[in-house]
Amino acid sequence: MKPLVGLAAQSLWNRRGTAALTVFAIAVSVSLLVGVEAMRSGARESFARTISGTDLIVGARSGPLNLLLYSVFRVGDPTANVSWQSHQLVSRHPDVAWTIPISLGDSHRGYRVMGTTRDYFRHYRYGNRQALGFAAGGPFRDVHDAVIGAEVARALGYSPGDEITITHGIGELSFTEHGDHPFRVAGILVATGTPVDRTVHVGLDAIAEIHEDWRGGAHSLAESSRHPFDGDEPEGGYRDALPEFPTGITAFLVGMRSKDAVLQMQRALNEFSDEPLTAVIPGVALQQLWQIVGVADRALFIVAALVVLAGLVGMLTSILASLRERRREMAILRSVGARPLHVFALLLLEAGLLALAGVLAGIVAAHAALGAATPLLASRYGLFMESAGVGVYDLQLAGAVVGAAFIAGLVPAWLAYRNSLADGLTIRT
Amino acid sequence: MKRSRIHALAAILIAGFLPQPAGAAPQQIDWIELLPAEERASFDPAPPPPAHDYLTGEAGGLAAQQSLTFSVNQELEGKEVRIPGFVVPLELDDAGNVTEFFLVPYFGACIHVPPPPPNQMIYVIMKQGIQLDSMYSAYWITGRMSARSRSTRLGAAAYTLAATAYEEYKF
Repeated sequence: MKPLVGLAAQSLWNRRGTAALTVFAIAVSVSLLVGVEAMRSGARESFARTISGTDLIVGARSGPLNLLLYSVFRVGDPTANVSWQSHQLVSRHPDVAWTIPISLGDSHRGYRVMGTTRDYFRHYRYGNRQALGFAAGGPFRDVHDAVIGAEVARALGYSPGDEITITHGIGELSFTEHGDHPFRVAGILVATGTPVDRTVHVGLDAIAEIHEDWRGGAHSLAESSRHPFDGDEPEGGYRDALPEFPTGITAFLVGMRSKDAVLQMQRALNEFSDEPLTAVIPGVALQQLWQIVGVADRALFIVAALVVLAGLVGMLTSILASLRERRREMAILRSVGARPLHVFALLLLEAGLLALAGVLAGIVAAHAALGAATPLLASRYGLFMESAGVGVYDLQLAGAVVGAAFIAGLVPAWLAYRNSLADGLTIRT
Repeated sequence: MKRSRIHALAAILIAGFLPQPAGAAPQQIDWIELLPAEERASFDPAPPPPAHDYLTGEAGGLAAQQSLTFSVNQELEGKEVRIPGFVVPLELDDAGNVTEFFLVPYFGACIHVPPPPPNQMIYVIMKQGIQLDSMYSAYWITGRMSARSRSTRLGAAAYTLAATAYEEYKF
C-alpha cells in the first residue's frame, strides 16, 4: 500500500501542471464552502452576543430591524429622534426598572460617538448577561469626560487623561470638527467582542452642549453665540446658555422589572398617540434578522456545494483524459510486476490525493482569508467574528469531499484496470 | 443547518430505540386546559385598556389594569406537560439559541393584536435553548409547569414552564 501511495504521488508530480490546476479548483470550491459556513455561524454568534438583558429597544417610528441595527450594532442611520419627554414617561413607569438613553451622530476618527448616561455602564449587558467592566479609569464624572471601548483605545493608543476631539457626522473624516469642545478620556472598557469596543461614550449633556451653536445646521461663528468656554461669559452666566435636558435622543433601551409586562409595554409604545415610536424585543428582531439572512446563506451554501461538485467533476475529467496517454505508464508498471489490481488502486489513490491536497489548501486559504477580513467586518458591519480555527465542521467537510473523490475515482480506476487487463504489455492504438 | 439536521435525525433514531420510562410521560395539554374547568364554556377575554392609559397612567389606567382578573388552572401546578405553541424570543445565548421566551397559542401575538390574556400565555425558561429556525414554526414544548397566581399586570404570563425538551410541530 505504502509504495503505491508514493507511486501515485510521483506520477502526479510528473504531471504537476495539470495536477496543480485540479488541486486549485478543488481548493477554491472547498474554501467557498468553509467560508460560507464560518460567516453564517460567526455572524449569528456575533449578533446574538451583542445585546442581552434588554427587554425593549425604543426609537422613532421605523422598522424593527432598522432600529435594532442602528441602535445596537451602529449599522445604518437613525430615522429620527425620540423626544426626551417620551423617554421620561417610560423611565418613570412603575413596571420599568431602568432605561438607557442613547444619542448617536458624531464620531471620533471613524469610531462612533454615543451619548448616554452612567446607567449604561450599570445596566447594559452583553453575551450571557455579562456587565461592562473598566480596564482602566471609570465612568464619566464631568461633562467633558469620555469612556472609550477597548478597540478604540488599542487602535489609537489612548490612555486615561488623554484629550480627544469629536467630529460632527459619522464619516471617518469631517470638515467640521467640534474642536472647541475637547474631551478627556476618563475610562477604558474591558474588551467585549461587540460594537461597544468601537464606541466612544460621552454624557448626554456633552452631546447637547457641543451642538449648542448648531441650530442652523452648521457651526455658528457669530460672536454672540460663540461658546461661553471660548471667551466672554454670556449674559446670565454660561449655565443659562446650556440646555437643561437634551431635547431629543436617538433611542433608548428599556429593562422591565419583570419580563411579564414586556408585551404590554411594547404594545403601549407602538400605539403611543403622543409620538410615533417603535419598540422591539431584541430577541424577536434578531430572529427576524436570521430569517432574512437565512435565505441568503442557504442559497450560498447550495451554490458553494455545487462548486465543490464542479471541482470534483473537473478532477475526474482530467484523470480520464490522461488515461489514454498513460497506457504506456501502466504497461511499464505491469512489466515490472504490478497487477491489474495495483493499477486500479493507483488511480483511486491519485483521485484521493488530489482531493486531499485541494481540501487542505482550501481550508487553510478560507481561514486565512477570514482572519484577514475580520477587522474589516468589525469596522464596516459591526460583526465580530471570533475565528474558531479549524473545527469539527471543517473535518466533516474534508472527509465528505475526499470520500466523494474516492467514489469518483472508481470510474477511471475501473477503466484503467480493464485496459491493463486487455492491453497487457502491447498497446493497440 | 446541515449539522443540526444530522443531530436531529440521530436524536430521533436513538430516542426511537430507547425504552420510554414508564409513568414519567408528560401529559399532553391543549391551550383551553390552561383555563379553570368552570370558565372554559364562557371564556371571553375583555379587551385591555387603551395603550395610552398604560403608559401615562391616565384614566386610572394602572389601577384599572390590576382590577382585571384572570384565573389559572391549579391542577396544572407542578405537572409535567407537553404543549404546542409559537415562540416569542426574549433572551438568546451566545450561540443564538433562544433560552427565554413566551409561548403563545397563535403567531403574531407580538405585533398585530393585543397580547393574549395572561392565562393564555406561558413564560418558558429553557437552559439548553431552542435553535429557532423560523418564528412561523410551532413547537412542542415539554417541561414542568408552575401555575402560581401572581399579582401581575396585563400582558403577564400566569404560567411559567421550566422546559426540558422541544420538537417542531408538524402540521
